[in-house]
Amino acid sequence: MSKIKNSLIFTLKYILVFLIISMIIFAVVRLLPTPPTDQWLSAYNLPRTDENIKWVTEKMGLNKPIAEQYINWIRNFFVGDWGKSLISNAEIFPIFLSKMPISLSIGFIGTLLAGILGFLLGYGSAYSKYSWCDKLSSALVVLTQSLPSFIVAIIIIHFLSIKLKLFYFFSGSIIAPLIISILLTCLYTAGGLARIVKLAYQEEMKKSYVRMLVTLGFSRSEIMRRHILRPILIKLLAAILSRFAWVFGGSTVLEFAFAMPGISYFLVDSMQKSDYNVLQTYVLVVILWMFFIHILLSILIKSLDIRRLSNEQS
Amino acid sequence: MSKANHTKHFTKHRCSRIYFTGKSRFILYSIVLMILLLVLFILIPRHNILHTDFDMRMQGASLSHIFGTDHLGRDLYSLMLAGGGRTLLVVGLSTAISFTLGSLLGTLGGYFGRWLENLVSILADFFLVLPTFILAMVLSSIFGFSPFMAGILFGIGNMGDYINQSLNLTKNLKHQEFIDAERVIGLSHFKLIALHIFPNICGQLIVFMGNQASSVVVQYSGLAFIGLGTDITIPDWGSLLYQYRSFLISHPHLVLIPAGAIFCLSLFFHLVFDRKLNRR
Amino acid sequence: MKKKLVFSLALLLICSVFLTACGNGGGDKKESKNMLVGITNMIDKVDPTDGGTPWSLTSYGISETIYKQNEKGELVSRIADEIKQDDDLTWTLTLKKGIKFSNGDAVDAKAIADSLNDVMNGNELATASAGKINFEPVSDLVVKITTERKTTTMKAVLCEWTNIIYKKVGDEYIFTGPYVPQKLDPGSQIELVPNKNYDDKAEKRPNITLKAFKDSNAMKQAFESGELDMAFTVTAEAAKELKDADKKVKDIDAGYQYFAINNTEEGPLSDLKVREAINLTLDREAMTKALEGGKVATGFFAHYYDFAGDVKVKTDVKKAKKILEEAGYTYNDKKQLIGKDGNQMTLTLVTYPSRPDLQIIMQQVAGQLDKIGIKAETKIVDNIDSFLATRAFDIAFYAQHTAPSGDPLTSLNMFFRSDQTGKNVLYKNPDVDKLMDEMGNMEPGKERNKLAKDIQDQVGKDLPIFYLVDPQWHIAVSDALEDYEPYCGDYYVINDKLGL
Repeated sequence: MSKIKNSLIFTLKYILVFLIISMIIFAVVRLLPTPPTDQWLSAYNLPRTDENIKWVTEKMGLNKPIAEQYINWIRNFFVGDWGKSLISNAEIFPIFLSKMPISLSIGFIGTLLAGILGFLLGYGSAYSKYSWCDKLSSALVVLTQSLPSFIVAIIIIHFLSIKLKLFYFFSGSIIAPLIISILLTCLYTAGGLARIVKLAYQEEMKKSYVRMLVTLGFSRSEIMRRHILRPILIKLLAAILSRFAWVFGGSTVLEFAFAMPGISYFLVDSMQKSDYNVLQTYVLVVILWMFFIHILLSILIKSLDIRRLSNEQS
Repeated sequence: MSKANHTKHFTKHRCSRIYFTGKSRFILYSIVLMILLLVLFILIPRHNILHTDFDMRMQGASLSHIFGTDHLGRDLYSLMLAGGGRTLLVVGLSTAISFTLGSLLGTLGGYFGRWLENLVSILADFFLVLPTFILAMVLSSIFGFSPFMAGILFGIGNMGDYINQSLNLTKNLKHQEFIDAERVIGLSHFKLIALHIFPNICGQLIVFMGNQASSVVVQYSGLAFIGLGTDITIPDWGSLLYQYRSFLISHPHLVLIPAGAIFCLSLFFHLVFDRKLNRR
Repeated sequence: MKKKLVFSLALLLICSVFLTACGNGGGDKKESKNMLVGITNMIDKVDPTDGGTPWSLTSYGISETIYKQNEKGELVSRIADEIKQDDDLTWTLTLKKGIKFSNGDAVDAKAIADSLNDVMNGNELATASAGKINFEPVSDLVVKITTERKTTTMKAVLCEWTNIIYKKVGDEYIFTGPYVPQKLDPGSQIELVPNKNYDDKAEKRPNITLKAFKDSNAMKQAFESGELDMAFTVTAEAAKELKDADKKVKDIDAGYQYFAINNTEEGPLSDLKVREAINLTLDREAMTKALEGGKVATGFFAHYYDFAGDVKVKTDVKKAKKILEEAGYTYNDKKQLIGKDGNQMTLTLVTYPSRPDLQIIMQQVAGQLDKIGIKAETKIVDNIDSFLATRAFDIAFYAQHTAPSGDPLTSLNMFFRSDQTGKNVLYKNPDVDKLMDEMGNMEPGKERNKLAKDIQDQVGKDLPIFYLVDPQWHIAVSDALEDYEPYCGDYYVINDKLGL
């Protein structure tokens, strides 16, 4: 019963977030100093006379009352009609469909890999202080904070492609740049996650029930791997959740550096042209994405929690 | 002196001697470093960063250009100095905003629980989900782009993590016995949070902050890819990295020097703040 | 348990990677005649009726206007035989025989009329100097053209970038250019195959993929790794580096002009003397050096046009200071120039990010102004045109192709007519207006060109803008395209001579 109540609250929470953010982005894009009407006229080198502006505004459907525009937009969004770009008239939905998988996979797979690597490094750091794991994860954190990913990308392209001619990143299949981008994303996230895992272990190890396990004769590694693994995983999963949101920005830089056909080119172009439709839709898609990730992780966390409860009972 | 007093006196001095060695040594080193830097600052020649000189491009280190020159003939040392202030501004501002607002919201939410906790949790998700890049572009087209703006932007964008952290820490702490004891004694909510809860969770939050602080610089340089902060006459360490990225192979010093500076900054934060927890 | 979890996660990850990659990458390229060309932008949709797409379609070699420019800036046509002016408002256009669309349909009078009437209708706001134009097929190969207002340069009108020839077949559009679009990945890349119905050389043309690179450094690296046959364009620094490494880099005349728009209405530049002084301080030679090419601008048009200007300015800082002093400005002991408000004169310089060359120029100008004691503050804005309307600047650095249709009058009208609202150049000179009106009544030729030069001369005296640089752009080419020369800036990136 309480599980259902919790899921309801969770869903309601997200619907609320969704609606609020949608209203905010709807209002905010209209605050952009150069409306798409002006951009359109600029593209045609046409003067911004009142007549012209009126004509373009009608053409773009921006003369309807705000509320009506908003409701139409939201309603159509859920039916899959994501409208057309205000500037180029291209259908937004198929473009997103073909481009988002690349951007999302860089973020999703990269972050998952980072979770695994981060866990392993964090485990090693917590197991023995000042071990190589500890130093490596510290080094990773400091290094990734001083060197942006595009610098590393440039180095990789230079040595693997230009000097050694092992891979071709800009022509041919997209696997090569995709894998490098995933690895870079993993590298850039793993350090921070490793520190979190290490701290979580250290905190947990201080608790009284762990001391009890020690006196009972369990070895350190056994305790770390069996008994207190679950609360650590829960903390790790919570940390990963926040990283997923970050990767949207991170993948932009990599997409640019490797000229990959992800969603970022399209997005940046639309930003510069004040293409309301595309921007609004993008934000909604991000929220939806976070919602699904959140659900996925919550399920994982809950399942870990249940096991722990039943374990402790047995 | 009585025996009790003697012990107390002796112990106090003993502890302070150990205390002096650890933290204060670090402070001593920092002060020496600062003085050295100040001396260098006065002695090393500086140039106007606006002056371009195409006969002097891409020079290596020399007496008049201690870090060499870039592709426009500008003195790298002067650019680094001019950029340093801006970089520190971005880092300081964003960290201050994220930390203060984030921990405040999280602590309040975790302490009072129920609907406030839900609200704060929603806020945290909201800030996490907000794509920083879009926010950056929107804000900069409205208000113009500047390091100050970027500081606020990243401060808000990174707040989510701080809120969640402090929320969870507060919740955990709340259930401990001594808190209930304090409530029974009659301590007001405010005093309880300020004097007992916050100081206890502060440590972990500060470690987190130390880990995150200088990542803002790298995030900031990424913005240049989408066309923000590309004014080459207003440098900062992150945007220098972006500008010189195509010279990485041919003239690596142009990238290594700003990267090195950011590295030092990051190391500084890491050492100062990570130590605090490890010594507890 | 942990091991199983890790293993299954790893498996899941590997599968996801391949699924994504296969969904997108697919296919092996590198057939014998397939070229990869790097450019900086890509269209979202092959639609000639919207946005700036027609310019891109012509640029990619997909579409054509009836008249186009050749390397010397002259107007020539592959489609039309001749064009005659019957009276003030009517013309007769005679087409060549045997010209076809990419699907084999004949380009006859009816097709031309339909296509151009469509353009005129869809673009109700067309400010073609001739107003709305109507096309009527008179016979198989003859079209009657009726204009709303008188024009003397119909060839130029038929070269304007909006007026491309197309035909709608079902849901798709077909065109007449040397290449046919095969597959478009919106915003990222387009695959082109040669148009078999273009001419008899179609067999020799290669397949071309045009790929957008938003990061100039990525394009440079793609060229260095040998993946690009042409990089259009590379920055000045990259060009220097590649040349030093013995790679083939061509410098082509851009056709675009770099100039500075002055705020003559408010602020220090409202004083003509200040503008004259600054004009003498600007070191244009240094700019061409920084950009690794190009010429000092002598007017408003690229040097290869017959109507290019002959304005000469020599850098003379001493004279500049003298002019300022005579005009009543003084210097304080810190060598700063004191403006009308008693403080150091401070100017706001502004430009936009999509032309990196302009930023280099802006930085140089900031340094040069420093030499006469003026403080410069720089700013980068996203949409320069609307920013200019706010008048919150002193000097704006701008780039524009000033003769895309081969006719000088269009741009002169757009920038220098009194009280025009299009381009935010604040200039009012009734004499210049008269000259432009005269030009509107003259046939293209020496006389008309002389008037264009006179106008540029006058602008050079009144200084609503500063002429800066007649630039060259740098294009890196592979051995395969060693002999290829794109021209007219980015208007014809892919032309019919590629690969031949």
